[in-house]
Amino acid sequence: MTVSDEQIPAASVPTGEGRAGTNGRGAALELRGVSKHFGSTVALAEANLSVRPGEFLTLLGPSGSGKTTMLRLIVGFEAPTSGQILLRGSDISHMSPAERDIGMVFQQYALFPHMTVADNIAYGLKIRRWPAAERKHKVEEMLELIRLPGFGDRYPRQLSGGQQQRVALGRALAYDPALILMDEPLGALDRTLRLQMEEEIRRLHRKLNATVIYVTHDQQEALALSDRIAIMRDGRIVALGTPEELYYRPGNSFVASFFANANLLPVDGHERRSADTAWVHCAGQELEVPAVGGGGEPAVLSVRRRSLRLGPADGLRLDGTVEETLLFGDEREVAMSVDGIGRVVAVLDARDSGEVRVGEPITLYAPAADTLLVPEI
Amino acid sequence: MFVLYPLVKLGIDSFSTGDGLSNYAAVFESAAGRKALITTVIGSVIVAVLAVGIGGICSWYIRSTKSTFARIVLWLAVLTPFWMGTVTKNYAIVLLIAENGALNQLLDVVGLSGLDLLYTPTAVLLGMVYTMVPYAAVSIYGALLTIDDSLLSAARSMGASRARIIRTIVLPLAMPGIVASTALVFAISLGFYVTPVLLGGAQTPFMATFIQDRILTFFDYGVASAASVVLLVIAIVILGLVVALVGRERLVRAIA
Repeated sequence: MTVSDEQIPAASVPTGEGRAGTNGRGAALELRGVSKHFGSTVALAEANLSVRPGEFLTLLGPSGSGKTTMLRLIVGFEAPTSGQILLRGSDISHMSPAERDIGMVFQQYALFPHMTVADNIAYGLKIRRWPAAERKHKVEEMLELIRLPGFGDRYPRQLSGGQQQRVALGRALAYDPALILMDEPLGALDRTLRLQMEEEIRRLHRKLNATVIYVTHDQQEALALSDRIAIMRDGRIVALGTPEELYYRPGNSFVASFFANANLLPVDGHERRSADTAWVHCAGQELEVPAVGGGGEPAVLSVRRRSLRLGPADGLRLDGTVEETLLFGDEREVAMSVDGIGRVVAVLDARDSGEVRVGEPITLYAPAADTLLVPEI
Repeated sequence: MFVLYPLVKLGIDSFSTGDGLSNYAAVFESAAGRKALITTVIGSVIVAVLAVGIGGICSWYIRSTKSTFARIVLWLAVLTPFWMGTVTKNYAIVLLIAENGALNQLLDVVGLSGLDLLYTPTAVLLGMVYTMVPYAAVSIYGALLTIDDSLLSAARSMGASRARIIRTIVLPLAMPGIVASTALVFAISLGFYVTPVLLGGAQTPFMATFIQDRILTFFDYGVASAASVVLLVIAIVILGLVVALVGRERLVRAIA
C-alpha cells in the first residue's frame, strides 16, 4: 500500500523554528542487525527492518516477543547491544531521546496530571524553545486536529479515556516529530472506543503523512490500521508483509495460527511439485495444495477457519464430531474433533449450519486452493 | 485518654500554677527563654530544610535506580539511624566529631586543621538532621512512588533533560509530600531533648533544655508548662498552615 505524497500546507509549520527537517514529516527508519541482551536473556535478536517515510508499520506479537524492547530502542530509552538504528539515514543508535526527535504515545496515556491539556500539548514545544505565541497557535491547531477545541484549560482527570488518549496523540504530534511510536495506545479502552480511536488514528496518519510504528498484540487492530505488519516471536521478526500477504499467504505456521487464526493440520508426508505447490498426505487423503517455504523442512497444512464449509467440495475432507458451537450473529463457530488430527475450528454461515449439533458427526470440506502448506516453526 | 489528659492538664497548669499569664510572660521576657525559643525555631527550620533536602535526594535515587543492590544499600544507609537508640545515635555523632574523633583524624591525614564541633549549635543541627533524614526520606519516598514511570518516560521521549523532568514533573507532583514532610520534621525537631543536651552542651540552649532546667533546677513548673504549650502551639500552627496550603486530601494521600 502506498501513502500519498501530498504535503501538509507549510503554514502549519512555524517559520521561527529553524530545525532542519522538521517539516519533512514522516522520516525513514532502518534497523540493521539490532540486538538487545539483558544479561543472558535475548530480548531482541538481529532485527532488520526498513520503514518507509509515511508508512504505518505495526509490530505484532504476544507479550514478551520483543516488540516493546524494539520500541524502547528506537525512542532511545535503551541502547542496543549491537547493530544500528538509522533515522532519516543518520545513525541514532546511541543518541539520547532528546537528540532523536521522536513522538511517543503510551498505553496508559501518561498525561501530566498537574498540567492542563494545553500545557501537556505544549510540553514538547517548550523543550524545543518555541516562542510563546507560536506555541499557543500550535496548541490551538492540535486541539482542532484531535477534535477537542476548547478543551485546553481542562485537566486530564476531567476527560474520558478516549479524550485523554487523543490529547496524548496531540502531545506526541505537536512538535512534528520525524517518527511517531505508539505502544498499545488502545489497550486501556473498551471495544467501542477502540474502534473509534482506530478510525481517529487512521485519519491522523492520512492527514499528517507521518511515519508510525505501532505496537499491539491485537491482530484485529493490526489488520485495521497497518500498511505493513512485522510479526514477532521470542525476540525475532518471524514475518513481515502487508495484512493481505500475511493473512492469505503466511510464511510459517506461527503466523498462520497467530495472525490468521488458522487450523494447523499435521501432514503424514509432503513433496514439492513446483515452486509454490506441493503434494501432501493429510487426513488420509492425497492433495495438491499451494505451498510456501523451501520444501525441505517439517511442514503443516494451514486451513483458515472460513475456508471450511459444509457443502461438498473438491479438496480436503474432514470427518469428525462436533464439540462446541458458538453463534456470532451471521456466523457460527464450530469446533470439531477429527481422528488423527485433533481439534479443528471452522466459521460457518449461521443459517446454513442450523442443523449442527454438539456430539453429532460432521463433515467439512476445504477447497485445496484455500489451504496452504507452511513450514512449521 | 493518654494523649488528651496530659495535654489538657499541661494547658491548665500553665495558667493555674503561679499567676497564670505571667508564666507566659516569663517565657518571653527572660533572656534565656527568648534565646531558647529562637534557637529552637530557627534550628528546627534549618533541620527541616536540610533533612528534607537530603532525604528527598536519597529517596529520589532509591526510586530511580535500576540496581537492586544500590537500592538496598541506600535504604540501609538512610534507615540505620532510625533503628538506633537515641543515645547510641548521639554517641555515634560524638565519636565522629569529638576533638580526637574520626572527622578530625581524617582532616589531620589530609593536612587540615581540626574542627572543634562538639558542644556547638552545628553539632546539635548535625545530630538532629542525622535523626530526621529517615523520617523525611520515608515520607517523600511515598510521594515519589505515586508518580507513574510512564510520565517520566513520556517527558523523556519528548526530549526533556533529567533536570527538566525533575523541575516540571517530579517536584510539582511530589510537592504535597515534600511540604508535609517538612512540616513533620519541623514539628518533631521542636521537641528534641537528648541531642541538644549531649551534643550542644550548655552553650546551645534549646527549648527542651530550657524546660528541663525550669523543672529540675528551678522547680518552676508553671513556666515549664507555659514553655511547652508555646512549642505545642507553634507545631499546631505550622501543621495547620500546611493543611490549609496543601489541602487535606492531598496531604492524607501524600502521607499514606
